[in-house]
Amino acid sequence: MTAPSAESGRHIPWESFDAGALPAAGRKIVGDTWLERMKQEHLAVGAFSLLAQELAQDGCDETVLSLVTRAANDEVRHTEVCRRMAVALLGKDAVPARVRGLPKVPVHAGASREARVLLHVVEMCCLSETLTGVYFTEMLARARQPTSRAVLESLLQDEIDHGRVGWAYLSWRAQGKRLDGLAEALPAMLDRTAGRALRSAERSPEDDGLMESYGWLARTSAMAALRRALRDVIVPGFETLGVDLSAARDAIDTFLG
Amino acid sequence: MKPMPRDRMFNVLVLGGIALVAGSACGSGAAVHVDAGSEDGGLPSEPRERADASVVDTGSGFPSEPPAPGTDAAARDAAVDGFSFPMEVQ
Repeated sequence: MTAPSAESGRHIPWESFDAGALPAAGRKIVGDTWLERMKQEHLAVGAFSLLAQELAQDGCDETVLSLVTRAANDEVRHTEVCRRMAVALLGKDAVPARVRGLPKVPVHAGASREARVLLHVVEMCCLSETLTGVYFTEMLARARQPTSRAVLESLLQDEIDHGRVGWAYLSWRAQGKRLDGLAEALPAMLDRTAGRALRSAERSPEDDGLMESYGWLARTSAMAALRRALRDVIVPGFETLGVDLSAARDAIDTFLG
Repeated sequence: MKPMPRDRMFNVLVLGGIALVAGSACGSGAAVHVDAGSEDGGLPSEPRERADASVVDTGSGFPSEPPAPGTDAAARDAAVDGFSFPMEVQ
């Protein structure tokens, strides 16, 4: 019997990966982002596991609970996929075989259990995973190297579901008029997600397209993708579901430049 | 007036998500609370008489502190932290 692989899923042609056209400095820049992503994907295993517990405790639509529990498993696979990309670009010695650790989760002191699970799902899925979904979509549009494209397609397929489940849960809570605490918490949540991602993108170098062809975004394209996610997906999503954005308006305007 | 076209990702993520729970109104048909069947806890399938032995006090609240940093060189594990929900994009 063959043991199940953490990397099972869509086929990725690792054997045809060739980073030879990328100079050493470019390999380091792109490889470092995949190494960092490996760590973030591992931490997302813990985050989705926590969400699954909170949702199971508080109750939710079964589709939401099913997708969130599955997401924890998806992130295990993503960690391994990102590790292999990092190894392909940086070499085996530069990449840990595995990582361990749990995420630091916003505590939202004073919030009720019912409010806290909403804030956690919105921050993790409607914000973070939605930003990632749009970001990876832009990365895929610019990637040319076949293995990199297969990796991005493999991750993106799940990231879309991870974003969707947040909007599904928010919609469900909005129907029940159970959005207490969200409007007040949004400015800080936006800063930890969109703000942090934009500040990180701002530090990225520019590129003539070569590094982007291996699954990476240069400063201009990264910032444009993140702003597009906020302006054209997240904000209209909140508006569609009747989320009060008055407290978050200044933060949104700042991030949109 | 024609509706304004939405961003494709809005349709995929937001409308796609909303469609997943269409018709499942929050609050209609209240959920029934269930627990582990023991005042002391234990796993759902755990026989009551064994529940005491299975209880481990792990404290309360979220894992707000990461494990002590360190690298197990033999296993080539690496401890990671610094994650609050957002995916770090570089």
